[in-house]
Amino acid sequence: MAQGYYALMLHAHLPFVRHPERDYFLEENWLFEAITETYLPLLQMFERLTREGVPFRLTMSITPPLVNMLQDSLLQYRYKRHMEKLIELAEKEKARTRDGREKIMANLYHRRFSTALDYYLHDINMDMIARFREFQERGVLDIVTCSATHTFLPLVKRQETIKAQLATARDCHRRAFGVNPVGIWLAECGFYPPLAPLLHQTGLVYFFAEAATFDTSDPQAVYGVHAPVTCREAPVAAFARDMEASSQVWHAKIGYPGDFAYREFYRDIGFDLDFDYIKPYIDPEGIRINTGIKYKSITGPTEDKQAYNPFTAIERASQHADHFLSNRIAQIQHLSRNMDRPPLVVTPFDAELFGHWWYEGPLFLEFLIKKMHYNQDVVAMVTPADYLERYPVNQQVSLPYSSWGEKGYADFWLSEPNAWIYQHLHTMEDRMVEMAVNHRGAQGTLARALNQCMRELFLAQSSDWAFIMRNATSVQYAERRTKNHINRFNTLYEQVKHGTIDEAYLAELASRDNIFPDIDFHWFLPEFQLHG
Amino acid sequence: MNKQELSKLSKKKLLEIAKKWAVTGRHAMRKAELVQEILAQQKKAKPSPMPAKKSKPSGKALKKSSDTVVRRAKFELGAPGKAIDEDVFVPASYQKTEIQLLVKNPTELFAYWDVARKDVHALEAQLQAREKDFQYVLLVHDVTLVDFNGHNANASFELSPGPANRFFVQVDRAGAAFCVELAVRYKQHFKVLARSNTVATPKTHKTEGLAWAEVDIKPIKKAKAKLKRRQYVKPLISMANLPDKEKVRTQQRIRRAAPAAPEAKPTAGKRKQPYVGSPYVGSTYPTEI
Repeated sequence: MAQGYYALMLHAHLPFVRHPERDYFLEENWLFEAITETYLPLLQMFERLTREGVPFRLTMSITPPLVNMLQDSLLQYRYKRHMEKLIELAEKEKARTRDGREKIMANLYHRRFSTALDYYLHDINMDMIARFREFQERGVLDIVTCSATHTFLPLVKRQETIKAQLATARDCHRRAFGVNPVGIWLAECGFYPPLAPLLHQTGLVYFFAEAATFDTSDPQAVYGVHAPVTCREAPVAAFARDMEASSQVWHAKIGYPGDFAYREFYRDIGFDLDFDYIKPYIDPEGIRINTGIKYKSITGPTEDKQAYNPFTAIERASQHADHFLSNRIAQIQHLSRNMDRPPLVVTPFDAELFGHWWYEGPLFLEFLIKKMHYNQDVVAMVTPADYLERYPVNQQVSLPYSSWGEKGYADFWLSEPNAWIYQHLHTMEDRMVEMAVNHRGAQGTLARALNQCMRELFLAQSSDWAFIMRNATSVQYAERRTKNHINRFNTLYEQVKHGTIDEAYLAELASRDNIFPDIDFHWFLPEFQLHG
Repeated sequence: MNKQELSKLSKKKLLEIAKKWAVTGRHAMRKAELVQEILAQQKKAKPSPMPAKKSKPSGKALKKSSDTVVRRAKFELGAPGKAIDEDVFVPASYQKTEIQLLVKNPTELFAYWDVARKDVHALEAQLQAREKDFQYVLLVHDVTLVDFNGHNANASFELSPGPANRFFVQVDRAGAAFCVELAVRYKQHFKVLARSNTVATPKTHKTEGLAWAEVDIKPIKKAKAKLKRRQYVKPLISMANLPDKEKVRTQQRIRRAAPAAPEAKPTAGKRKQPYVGSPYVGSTYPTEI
């Protein structure tokens, strides 16, 4: 019998980016890179572990936009095209590199990309969602959902919107994975007390909250973050991340990914090689971008990077897994002396951290899972649902407003660069409710227009746009996306109001923003009930 | 940009750059201070907010800033995003007089407002003045434990938000409720235009107490039962029209999808050899990365 439990939660999410109007679109690479570097390696790891018979329990949130994108045939086709290009580049790299480490890596990249594409096309028939679903059915994976478009809920104006977001997410999840979700990853861990009853009505049992809230909750949580709490507002449970464990992996200063032996994210051949050579594999307009082929290691605080040595990196990942595990063991042993139940350590991470940012991340996870199974008896892996089944009675507290962003509140999504969006988002919410009430029971074109309005609103509400605006990565794109959805919504709103719906315009929007094919605007009615 | 380049620029230009780097208190700074602050911020942050062509920050940056660095990496393509070429119109006003209040953190609120043109005209007629002459002000009321009727706030203060239609309001009071009114001041006249929603700032102090409550785990039981029923029902794949290579693959896939062998169950008490996890030991080790 284990003395304590460890729950690993991977939050897989990308905003909905799909541009059928162009043949190539730079931002679609967000998805392609995440598939190649994170989602496929994770699936392949699950395959290996199941084949070997290593039992494990993992929690993953696969957000509704990601579900929609992974199931979209256009994006599937484009991913295939992207990979064929990448494999072609890797082939050229094999020929270009002479000997030594670069050659080894070029070979590895080529093999890795080819295997990935082969697996994607033939083993799983391009349907990654179905594969994730199978792993959930085999009992190794618990998949949880998220607000419909990763919306930061505390900054939403109306309760109707939150209900519609939750209903959409639940519906999408059920269609993709065959069961209703029992857990939710609240986007950015954004929570405020009135949310709890709505989660309960949706049929959700637990969510994840920021660690600090367990301190400032009313009353303070007696077990800290090492046991869930029951919300006072409704019988749903909250789990908080353990900062000690998370920061070992996640922290920019002391985390494992910064190890000098690991691969350097910022040195890519898209920038390092001759323009003429790399031109076919970067943005068609000749803008240099990351290709995913990188030969340098982090090396240290220097610009003079050394060649990446995969063998050292593998060893290092193994050592880090050992280190992480021994720390968890020590932590659990220490904690279990002071608790009436086995302590639980929860570490949620962005899934894209593993593989995309931290190239050796998936390998680290595989080591960790195996070592946890073979080498010790103190810590066992569980999912939050398992833990709640065993220990349904928990301390009752009222959690405050919080997020996992900077300073623990809404600072990141409500700041100078992005505060302008809320006036528009809130007006759209008001108008959406107004339209739903006025056109209750609408059919045909009118219903399609209202459903499209709902999609535009949800897409505009994605917290990623505010995040990017603040973070200054692809600001122009994020601003334009927000403005586009506001504009499309308002245009449709005017058309609905005046009874002059432009069929062609509506069809065009429906083909572009085709997220959530089965959305229903009636979810915006004030009397809409989540349960039942 | 380095120090020399920055020093050559005008103060206005520097302020713009400082804004991009989110230098706080930039307006009060002298030119030299600005240069210094910008350089410090550049050092601190990772990629330049200006479109960087080639120079990429290095691993050392990873060791410097907070964990959002890691999280932003998923949006990092190496190039700034492009605009979408579509005509967009985002209204500056929705012609609705209102003020809305949001909570940013325990000490700061955010208010935005909108004034309909017809209300402005009515006001102009009433005050016999032009809009540019009167001043919009915000009245911030502490309404903790009060059913606010416009006159019974615990405390109130007035702010001049300037020409923009949004403002970050410093309240410095955690665990309190607030409401804001948008008003107009002109000479001796004072008129309230709109009242916001009431919001509560999160409290930050610790409290003690102990109560227990059961979580409603019925949905978990339901979902698990459903999953269990499905565990052995695997999708049927028609192999009739598949080429030979595909057939083999599909067979392999079905074999893999078959129910796990009994030994795959948790091996309680009967452990295998310790897993060293070296690439050179054991056959199952992932030899590639």
